[in-house]
Amino acid sequence: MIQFQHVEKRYAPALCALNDINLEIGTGELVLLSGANGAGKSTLLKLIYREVEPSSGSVLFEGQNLKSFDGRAVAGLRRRVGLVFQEFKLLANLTALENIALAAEVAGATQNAARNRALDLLRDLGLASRRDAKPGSLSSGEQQRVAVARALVNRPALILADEPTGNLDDAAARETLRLFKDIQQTDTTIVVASHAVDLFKEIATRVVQLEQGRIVADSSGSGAVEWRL
Amino acid sequence: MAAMGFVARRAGHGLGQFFGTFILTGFTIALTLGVFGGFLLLQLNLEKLLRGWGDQIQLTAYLAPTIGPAELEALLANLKRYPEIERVHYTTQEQAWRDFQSALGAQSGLLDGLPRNVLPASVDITLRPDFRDHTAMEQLAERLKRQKELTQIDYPQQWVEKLALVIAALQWIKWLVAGALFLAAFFIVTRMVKLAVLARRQEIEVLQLIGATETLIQAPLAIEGLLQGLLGSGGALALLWGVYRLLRDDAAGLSGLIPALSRMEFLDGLSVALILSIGATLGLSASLFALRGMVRSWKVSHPAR
Repeated sequence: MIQFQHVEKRYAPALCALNDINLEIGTGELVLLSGANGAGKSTLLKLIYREVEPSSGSVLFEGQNLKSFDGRAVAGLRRRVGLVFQEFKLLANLTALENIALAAEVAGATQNAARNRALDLLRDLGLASRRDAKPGSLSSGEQQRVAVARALVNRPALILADEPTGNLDDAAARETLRLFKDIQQTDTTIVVASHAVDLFKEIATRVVQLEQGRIVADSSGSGAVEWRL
Repeated sequence: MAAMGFVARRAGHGLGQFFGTFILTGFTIALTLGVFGGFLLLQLNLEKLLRGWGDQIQLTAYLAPTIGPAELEALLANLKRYPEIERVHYTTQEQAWRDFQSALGAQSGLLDGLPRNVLPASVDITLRPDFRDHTAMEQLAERLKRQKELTQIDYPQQWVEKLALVIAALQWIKWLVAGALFLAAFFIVTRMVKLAVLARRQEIEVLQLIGATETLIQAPLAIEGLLQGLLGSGGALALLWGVYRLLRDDAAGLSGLIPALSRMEFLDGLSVALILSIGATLGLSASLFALRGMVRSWKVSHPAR
């Protein structure tokens, strides 16, 4: 589904975020990107949803080079990719239901269809009673579940999550983990960048470790034999 | 269809959420366009006043004393056929004497002893508006001088030259000041709208992350800008109407100083349409201008390696 071919990303001549990345992620995988701060995890995700472009090399999504994408194609890509962030990125003036439905409407759903899909997801995630609550009155765990629901509303082929448990307590982090596990059962590809290696290792089918912009280890998930590059 | 509904709902939502900012920006547009419209109103009435003065500019042709009634009739008929001439008014020697006497008022006794036919008969010639300039007057005067029935042609040469100059200058000033005021209005409104758009930076960022196209993000803000501009220009016209009525009805008691105020005219339909369209354009373009750099554009970069 995703291919990185000799990808290098420099934010400045002396600031190399990623160096010669070669990576292939298949459909249905749950890949954990691990590494210290500044290792290049977030940059790698940003390259996939075309927030940044590689300085050299190519990133392919379903065989298409993302460099050939214009504005409309990037918008189309993002409607097929669900994004989850540490800071949730929910709109404060919209209710939980409206935040989720917004993503469906952007993808072309009618208002009614969008609301129905959002309601279904809120029910599935145990948030039906909080549908009219605004993010400010939701707990961190609830906000992250709303963000996950928004990422799922367009039934994406791929979910990208950048430190999804970074702002959550243990219980909420476990709940988020359970959500990702459920999502993976639907054959959705998931790429998670996280410090919480121990937590995500339980469900990851693969762990890719980054250090100073390079992949230093690529192993199967929990129980698999690790190999170092 | 779903996209149009979405855009309309987002615009409505934006108006509701940022109603205070919407009104404040509309008020700023109203004030700036009010100044612009005020200048148009002033210019319109000043030009009307000057053209009114132009109506009083006449050529006076003095008749030879030997002219008979038949020749006079033929001369007047001939003058009325000139394309430059709007109307002629014949003044007899007797009438000229009475007018002179009346002009002298208490000093009219000075005329005692003079024959009543000392002043010549004359014809006052009023020109059509298109010919009330120095060149046309001079050319007509030269042609009239060739008529043997007329002994002398007088017209206020300097006055005509100055009036033409003032009207021409006013036309130039109109466009210069209008241009400067428009630029100032654009600058102020753009800054104001930019502040309003900045408050929605997070919303724009989230919309981009969930896959909204540039058009889908910009359209609601453009609609809001358009409505803001129309509200502002409507407000400016209401403001101008209020000021116009105040001056025309002499609520400020200024007619003693400026008698022409009572004959003031409001902006014509074209000027009203101009202000409304400037307001709409201003609001729309300021919104789109303010969005520059905030809505990211993706361009196809160099070919794949």
